[in-house]
Amino acid sequence: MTDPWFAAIQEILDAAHLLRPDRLAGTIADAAARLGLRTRIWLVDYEQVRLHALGQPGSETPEPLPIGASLAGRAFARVASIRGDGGRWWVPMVDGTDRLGVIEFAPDDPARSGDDLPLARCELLAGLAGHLIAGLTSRGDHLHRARRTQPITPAAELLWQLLPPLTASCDQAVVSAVLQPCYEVGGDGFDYAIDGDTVQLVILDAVGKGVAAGVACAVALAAVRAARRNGRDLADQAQAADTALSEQFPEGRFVTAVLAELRLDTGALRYLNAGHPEPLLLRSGRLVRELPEGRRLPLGFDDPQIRVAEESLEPGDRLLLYTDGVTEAHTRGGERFGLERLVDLVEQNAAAGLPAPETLRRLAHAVVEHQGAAPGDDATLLVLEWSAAAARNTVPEGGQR
Amino acid sequence: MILSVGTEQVSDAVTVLALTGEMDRDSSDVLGEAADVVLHGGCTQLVLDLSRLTFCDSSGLNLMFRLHRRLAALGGALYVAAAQGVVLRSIEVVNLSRAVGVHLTVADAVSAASV
Repeated sequence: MTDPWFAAIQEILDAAHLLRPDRLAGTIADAAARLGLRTRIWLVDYEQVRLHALGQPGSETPEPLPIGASLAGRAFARVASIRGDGGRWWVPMVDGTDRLGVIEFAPDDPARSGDDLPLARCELLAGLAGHLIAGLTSRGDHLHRARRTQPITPAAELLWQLLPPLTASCDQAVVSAVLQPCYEVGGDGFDYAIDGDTVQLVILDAVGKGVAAGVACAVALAAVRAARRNGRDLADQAQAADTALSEQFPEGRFVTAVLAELRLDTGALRYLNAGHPEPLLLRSGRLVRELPEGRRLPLGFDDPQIRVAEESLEPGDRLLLYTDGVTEAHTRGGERFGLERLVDLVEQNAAAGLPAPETLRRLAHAVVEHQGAAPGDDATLLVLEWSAAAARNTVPEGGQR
Repeated sequence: MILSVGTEQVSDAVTVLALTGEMDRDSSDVLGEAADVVLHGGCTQLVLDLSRLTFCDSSGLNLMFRLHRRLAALGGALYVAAAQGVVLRSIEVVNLSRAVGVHLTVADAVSAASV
């Protein structure tokens, strides 16, 4: 006899070929119902403040849940399954290690205790749902809309379509990023590539605001990415961006950037700084130093004299890249967020053992809160953590039983 | 007006533009227009006196790079002088000195421009 869980997974995968994105939650709920389970899919919004339930036939859609003050949010934040009331389990839903939301699993007979839920299998189903959501999102607008709480600007729409997932890990490292304000961002961007023993990173900040800044950022990002995929090294990647920006903006429009490359087998770091705030090297939760070398002109202005800088990282080190919208964020009274506050918060969150994407989520919200109602620049953070334990911390694993 | 620009022609080729106030995306046009006028008048060595500039965002820095590019195309050069505090820090972050002469005083910049 076929394992009913195998049959449920088969039913979902068979349906996925022709599935409309708005039917995904119902399809999973129908398959789960044959296993004696009720499911509800919750997606995180772009601002990473609340989880929003996807609608499914035959039930009312519940109100959003705050990440900072709910069990669902705790499961999302920690990337760990958490037991709720009524025999319920909140199970994190990721695509790889990119946090998409949570799935709520409950026995369809409320008298049954949650101890009866096969948690490992629920986590497997949540993993499948995460991959399906990532794949189905581009089929329609439904899943995009489900994660947005405000209208988005054309510049932000352009940018989000260019960016890779916010978090990606391999067995030895985590890369994670966060951008604010997510519905109006225009000039900031990032990219990364994890291949073999190398992780490559770039963070970008285009001058100005709105679509012009978004286009400049997009041109620079695409040029760097194309050169990288064409097998060119860091200096060539930067030069490719110079050429592309000069062609697009003959009068001159710059994009500041840091390009970096870490060897996971040796810890050798190479980097270039094109007129951007210096990368921060953090060790054991403390700032070791700002990395001051590898300077060249901002992207868009050819600088033939460049020398790629080198640095040795130790296992467990973090490399934190940020745009000046983070440190320059200020209250109406003019008090800057500043580097010290940024480093303090990274230290606190590191001590709390939070996954890298959760640390960045909290940092980004601290910047937004610091600004209050004051108008802000784009603020982006990108972290590379060279640690197998940190990588495991981004993977859903077991429950907190 | 949060930015004002004073013009002082030192010689046929050398002009000093003195900036007072804050330069950002909205106000940087004031410098752009003043520079247009002196470049059309034959200036090829342009000195920016930043001693009374109290703030400069990336749009202002971008304008300096643009002026550098225009002047270099004319066979001339841009010089910046006497930047203070946060303005100096911004100029350092974008590595402006790799493209443009950055001088402590206006007098230093003018003598470099007059060689």
